[in-house]
Parts: sequence; structure tokens; C-alpha cells
Amino acid sequence: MNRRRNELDLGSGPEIVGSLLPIELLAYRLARKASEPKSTHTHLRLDRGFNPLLRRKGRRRKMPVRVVESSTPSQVSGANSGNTLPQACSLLTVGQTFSGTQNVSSLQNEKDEAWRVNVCIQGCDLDHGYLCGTMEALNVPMADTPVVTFWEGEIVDGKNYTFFTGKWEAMPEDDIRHWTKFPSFLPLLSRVEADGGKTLDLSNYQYIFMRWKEQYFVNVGEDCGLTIAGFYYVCFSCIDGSISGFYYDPKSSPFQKLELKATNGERSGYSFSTYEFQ
Amino acid sequence: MPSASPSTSSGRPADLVSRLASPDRGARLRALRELKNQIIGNRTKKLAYLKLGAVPAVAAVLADASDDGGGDGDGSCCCRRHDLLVQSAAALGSFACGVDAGVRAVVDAGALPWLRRLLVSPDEKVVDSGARSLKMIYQSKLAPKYDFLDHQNLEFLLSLLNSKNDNVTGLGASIITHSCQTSAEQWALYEAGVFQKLVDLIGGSVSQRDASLESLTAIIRNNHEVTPKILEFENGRALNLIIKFTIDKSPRTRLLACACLIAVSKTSSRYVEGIELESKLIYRLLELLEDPGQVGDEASFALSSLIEEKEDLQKLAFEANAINKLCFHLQNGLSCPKRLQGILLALANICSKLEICRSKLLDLQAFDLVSDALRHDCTDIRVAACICLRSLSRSVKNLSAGYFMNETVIIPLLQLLHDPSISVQLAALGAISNIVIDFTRRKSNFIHCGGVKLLAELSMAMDPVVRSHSLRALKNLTFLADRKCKEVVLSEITASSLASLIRDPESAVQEQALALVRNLVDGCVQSVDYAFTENGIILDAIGRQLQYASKAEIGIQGMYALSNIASGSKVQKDAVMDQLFQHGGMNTQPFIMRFLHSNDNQLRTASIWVLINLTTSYCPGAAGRVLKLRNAGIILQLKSMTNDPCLDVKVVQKIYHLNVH
Repeated sequence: MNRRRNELDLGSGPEIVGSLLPIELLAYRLARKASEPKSTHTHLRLDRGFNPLLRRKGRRRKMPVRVVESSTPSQVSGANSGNTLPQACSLLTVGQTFSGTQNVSSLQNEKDEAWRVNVCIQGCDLDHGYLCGTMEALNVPMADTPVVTFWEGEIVDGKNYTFFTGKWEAMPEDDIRHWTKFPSFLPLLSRVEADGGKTLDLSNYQYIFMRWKEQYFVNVGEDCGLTIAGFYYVCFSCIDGSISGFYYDPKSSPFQKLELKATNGERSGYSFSTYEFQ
Repeated sequence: MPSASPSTSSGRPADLVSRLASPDRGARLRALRELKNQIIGNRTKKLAYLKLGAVPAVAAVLADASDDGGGDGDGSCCCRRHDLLVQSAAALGSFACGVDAGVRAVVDAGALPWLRRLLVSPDEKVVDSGARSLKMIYQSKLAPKYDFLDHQNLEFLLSLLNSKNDNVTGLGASIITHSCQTSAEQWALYEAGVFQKLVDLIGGSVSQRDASLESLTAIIRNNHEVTPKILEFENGRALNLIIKFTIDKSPRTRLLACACLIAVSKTSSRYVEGIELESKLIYRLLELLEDPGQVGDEASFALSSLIEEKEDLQKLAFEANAINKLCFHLQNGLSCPKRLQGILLALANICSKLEICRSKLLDLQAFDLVSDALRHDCTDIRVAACICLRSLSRSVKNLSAGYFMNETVIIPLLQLLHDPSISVQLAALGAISNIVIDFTRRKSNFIHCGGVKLLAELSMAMDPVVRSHSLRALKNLTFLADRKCKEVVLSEITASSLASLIRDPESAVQEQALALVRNLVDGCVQSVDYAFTENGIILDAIGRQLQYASKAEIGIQGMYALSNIASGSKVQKDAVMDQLFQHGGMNTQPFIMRFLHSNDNQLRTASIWVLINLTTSYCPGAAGRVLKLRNAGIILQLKSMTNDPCLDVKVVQKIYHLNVH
């Protein structure tokens, strides 16, 4: 969610940033060009633990724990015949909660522009590439109470959804510009550019890419001064339960960053609840 | 004046019945004719004469006339015997037509063997009346089952199908439609060549065609062996014939042809040209829905059957505007209970998987009509409304908007839990299970309506399915519930009962009981205390059950329950540790070791989460717990899982190692 257009800084409109190629993308393309192996394989399979831009040693934190590995992507020849849907991930299941911030300004250092955000996963259907839940913004300046929205997510799996949004005023260039903000996307870039990522096998990849689109306000009216016209490009890390996202709305500040971490309240460990539809 | 004077024909019904036993054949015949004329098409009179015992009296006339060879009588005597047979058979058939009590009375009066004897009469009219009457009887579910596995019966059936009389062949087909249920019976009929006869009859009169289509459906239904053989017959002649009849001018024929193809597609889909024909069937059935009669009533049931569990067909039905059409009928008031039931079931099936369908139905303001049907006088409609509501409430989006948690829905659903019929209770439990997931923090509405108390009572029901479904509803209710709600649930069900349900003889009940505990101890950290009420009876039951658990589902729920408990304090973690090691003898392997070796991804994952929570390094006592796990060989086992094929297991395993080291 975001403030309505008339309250935004008009000087940071998307048309200025929109034409720039992200620095991460430039850097990656240069590095890739230098080391790219010649291959005739048509099917790229990404293994767990691969993240070419994070070649640091694993570091320990209390909770959540971050695991960082270095490995190389493997390629598998042949048609995309098997199940390439993302595998179930414990930390992305119903009942899991996350907390963090959304920077309303695209300038990441403006802490006073950050809203505290809580997210709860309410539904997950990997077969249909569907995820949904609520997002609660806590310190919204113009709101008396926390503002809760209900969102629905599209999981990029090559079967139900691809990296190209094809709606919500997002052009393929907008998609690429946002996805490349995630370091974990960069190994996929060439395939996505070639065929939309249809031949990618994401079933063993440790990152799950999604789009989250807010559908309605749960606890306030639509006249609350906020807008849910845009949507989030989201990347979830299976290994530490962290979520990164970028809000996209042509009428809002670009690249508003969402940063969330898995939470467990006062517990000294992880807790998992469940429900099932009849 | 002749005997059939108006005063006589309008005489008291009891007199008419008594005249059926008159020693005078002529009087008996007149009484029979009068009775038959009065009851034809008149349900009230049928029921009135049934009360007066008219059916046994008519059956006696039939038996008497059948026994009487009439060979030594004069011409008028033979003529009267012939008339008595025809009229008594016609009267019995009329009693059986559309009235269950009538069918029961005819069967109880022992009339069936006598009617069957008429079929071998040399007199065509007698044969015809007997066949008509038996056909009426075999159209009722109350008719006795015909044993196709008996050789003589099968021969007799073939003789019926070989007859040149429309009513006799129609009777043969009706018998098949009524009685062919098992695959052995279907196979016996196929091997006897019944199928070829039926295909030949499809080309006959309208009634023969309809009867044949219906009995072909009975022979094909759910039989993966018979169906291909039949459909390959003469290079698909039968299939082509059936497809041709889906555009017949008779609505009844079109419906029966559609039903036959639905049976084929559900059994052997490769014969129905895939989605193209199924799409056509959807359109045909939606057209037939407009028929004001019985065909329209049955079309929605056929549509339900076609799209059941098939998401692609549900989408096609949606695109064919099926929801609008069904809702149109729903909104225009339906006087026929069968039609209302069929429409609710069709809507339930269309909305069972796809959110766009649910949204459409809700946009059409049909929700109130569905919830009104929960209070309908007819049980079948109340059940259908529950099933429809269950489909509608499979939507997280609608649950999150608080669409269902209100008294107009909850109260009638809870009333249905008092129904003596288990099928009604289960239908209501299905809808309740979904509705109570409610994400809007309004679960208290359900508690205030007495829902928890009722579910807790049903969790102790004699029927294991009712027990497990009630526990599933309680589990869903406690998902992300506040502490107050959980306290009400635990106080109603009690810790000791929950512990005994964890040890229930039925595995489905065990699984749901463990999942309920898992949710009870989730949420705020104080919730973990619930596992320790009544001296830890629940925790102990979990440990004991896991020791002997043979099904992965039970292990998964039990391990997640232990994992949630192990995310509490040091004392609580130590208590979980004790459960891992205390059950079984000295030489028995801890159950967690068995689970780590399991083929089930979820069970291995859940087991590692228990270990992660037990060994979280910043919690007091972690080092001691790690040492104990290492000594038991569990750490070594975890290390061997580095290359586990399941991504989740591998990731969770890494988290564990980072915690420990």
C-alpha cells in the first residue's frame, strides 16, 4: 500500500528512474559475459544454495538464521517435462508471520519514511501458484489505527505465472527492472529474457519469486488516504524466511523497498499452525 | 340399470375394495376397472386405497386369475379371465407408479412372481400389461434387486430384450438400470451379450431408445474394463450413436445420451474426444436446464456429475455462463425440491475449486438464497445447501473479509448438527470446518452460538467419521485463534478427553486430535501451557502415540505439536526431550530416529524442527540437550541428511546445524 499520489514527492516519479538500467544488472551482465560457458543446453535447473552475488561465508544470527552458500548453477538438458513448481517451504506456510519495514520513499536512508509492516500468510496453494495473507502497516502518518490490507500473491513457477506480469500497468521492462533488483534473480535473467523463463526449473531453487497484489482494506474504508493500486515484486528466501519486495505503481515513488523477517513472538523457537479446507 | 351405475361407482371406497373379493368374476372385474380408473394419476386416492388394503386384494385377484387355467370355461369365461389379468396388472402398476408406499405394498403382497408369469402368456395384451406394470415397479428404488449373476435370471433378461414388444424390452432395460450396480454384474451382462442387444434397441422406438441409453449408462458406470470393450464395439458405432442422440429432438433422449457420455468420460476419457465433447455436454445440459419438467430437474444433477472434481470443466462451465443460469433459477423461486437440490449441488461443484466461480456466485447476490436453503423443510435440500456453502467458504479471500461468520449462517448450521442422520451432520460439519477458519477475529461469534460445546460433544460420537470431522472443525477454529477461544475449546473438550482422542482406535481421529493440539499450543508463548494441564496428560499421550504411529500423517501432526511445545521455555523443552526418550524399552530406538529415516518429506521436516527448537543455542540447557541427542546418534543421523532430496528438509537441516555449532 502507499500514500495517495497527491501526497507524494512529485520529484521522484518513475519516469526519471524508469529509463535507467539498475546498477546490479549492469554489473551482473559484465561479469557474466566474461565467464559465461558455451552451452547448447536448453533447460536450466537451479540448485539450492546458489547465489552468485553472495559469496560470503555463512554468518550466524540468533533468529532467524541466515544460511549463505556458494555453489554454481547446474544445467539440465531436455524438455521441461517434470514438476518444476517450487517445493513446499516450512517458513512459507499458513500461519507464518513476518515483520519489517516498507520504505515509502525510494531513498533507503530516509528512516522517517519507513512504515513498520507485519505480514501473515493465510493461504498457500503451490499447485495453483497462489499465496495470500494480510499486510498490516503500523505507523502510517495519516491513519489513527494500523491499516490492514488483504493481498493475493502469484508465485512465479513457469506453469501458473511467469516473470512477466502482463497487467497492473507493468510492462516487461518494468518487470525486468524490478526483478533484477533481487540478486537471486540475476542467474535467471538470460532465460527470462529469452523465453520468459518458461524453461527454468525453479523447483529446487532456494528463492521463490512472487507478485503480491493488495485486494482490499480489511479494517478501514477506501477513503483512508491510502492507495492499493500498485503491487509488490517479492522474493522469498527459503533458507532464512526473509522477504524482500519492491512496490510498483506508476503513480507512486519507484522502488519502495519492503523488508521482512520471519517472527516468532516471545518463543524460543519456531511454531507452526495448520488448517485444512473441507 | 347396469351394474356400473353412477351410484355404485361413487360408492364408498371400502365397499369397492370388498367387491374385489366377490365370488362373481364379473363383479370383481367391474370393481377392478373402477378402482383402476379412480387411482390413475391420483396420488391422494392411491394413498387412500393403500390404507384400505386394496393392493393385497388386487394381487389376490391376479393370483386367482393366473391359477385359473380357464380351459374348461366358455368363451365369456375366458374373456373375463383375460380381462381380470389385464386389469389387475394395470391396477398394481398404477399403485406403484410414483408412490413408494404403493411399490412397497405391491412387493409385500407377493405380486411380482404373478406379474412375471404374465410375460410368458400367449396373449399379447396380457404380456403387455404385465410388462407395463413391472416397468413401473422397477423404476422405483424400492423394487427388489434382480440377481444378474443367476444364470436363469440372465437368460430370462435376454428373452425380454429379444422381445418384439416395446414394453417388454423396455422392462428388460429398466431392470438393468435398477439393479446393475457392481462391476461383477456389469461384467456378467457384458459377457452375456446384453450390450449388443441394447445397442440394437437404441435404433428402435423412442421408449426403447431411452431405456437402452439409461441401461447402457448403468453397465458402463465406473467400470474401467467393460467401458473400453463396449466403446470399441464395431469401430465405435455405439459411441457415435450415443453422441448423435445428444442433439435429438426429444429432451429426455438428449439428457440420457449426455448422462451416458458423462459415465464414459468419467471412466475412460480418451473415448470422448477430450475437452471438446465435454464442453459440448456442458452446453447441452445448460440448455436442458430450461426444460420445465423432470428433464430440467435432472439436468443439474448430470451437470454436477460431469464437472465434479474437474477443475478444467468447472472453468468451462463458468465460461458457459453456468453460474448465471443456475442462479437465475435459484432467484426465481423453485417449487420443485428436486430441482432446488440439483441446482445447489451444481453450484457447489462449480465453486469447489475456482475462486472466480465463488466470486461470481457472491456477486450475483446468491449467498442469502443458499443460506436460506439451510432452513428448508426438505433434508436433501439442507444437505445440498451445506455442500454449496462448504464450496463457497473454501475461499481465504472471503473468509478474510468475514463473509460467513454471522448468526444467519452459523445458527442453522449448528441446528443441523442435532439431526439424527449422520450424512446431515457430516454435511453441516463440512461447512462449519471451513467457516470457523475465519481470519477476522470474530471466532467468538461461533463460541457465543454454542458451537464449541456442540463440536466437543460430537468429538465423542460413536461414529469415527463424525469424531474426526468434529475435531477437524475444532482444529480449524483454533488456527490463529486468541487465547480466550483456545481456553473455551480446551475447557469444553477437556484435557483428558483430548488425550483419549489422541489414542483413539481410528487413525483419522488421532491425526485430527494431534493437529488440534498443535494449534492449541501455537500463538502466544503462554499457549504452550495447555499441553501441561492435568499433569501433562496431553503431552504424554502425544509421546505414547508417536511411539507406535504407523502412518506418516499422525507422525507429522504429532511432531509439529511437539515442535510447538519445544519452542517454549527450558522446562517445556526438557519435557519434550523426555518424551523423545522415555517411551519404549532400553533397546527401543527413539521414535524421532524412525521419523528421520521416513520416506515422507513432511515427517522428516517436522522432526528436524523439533530438534531445532530443542537445541536453540540461546535457550538455557541447550548444551545438555544437544549432548543427549548426540549420544543417541540423532545428530549423526542429521549429518547424513545433508544431501536430502527434499529442499525443505535440506534447508531446515542446515538451520539446525547452525543452531548447534
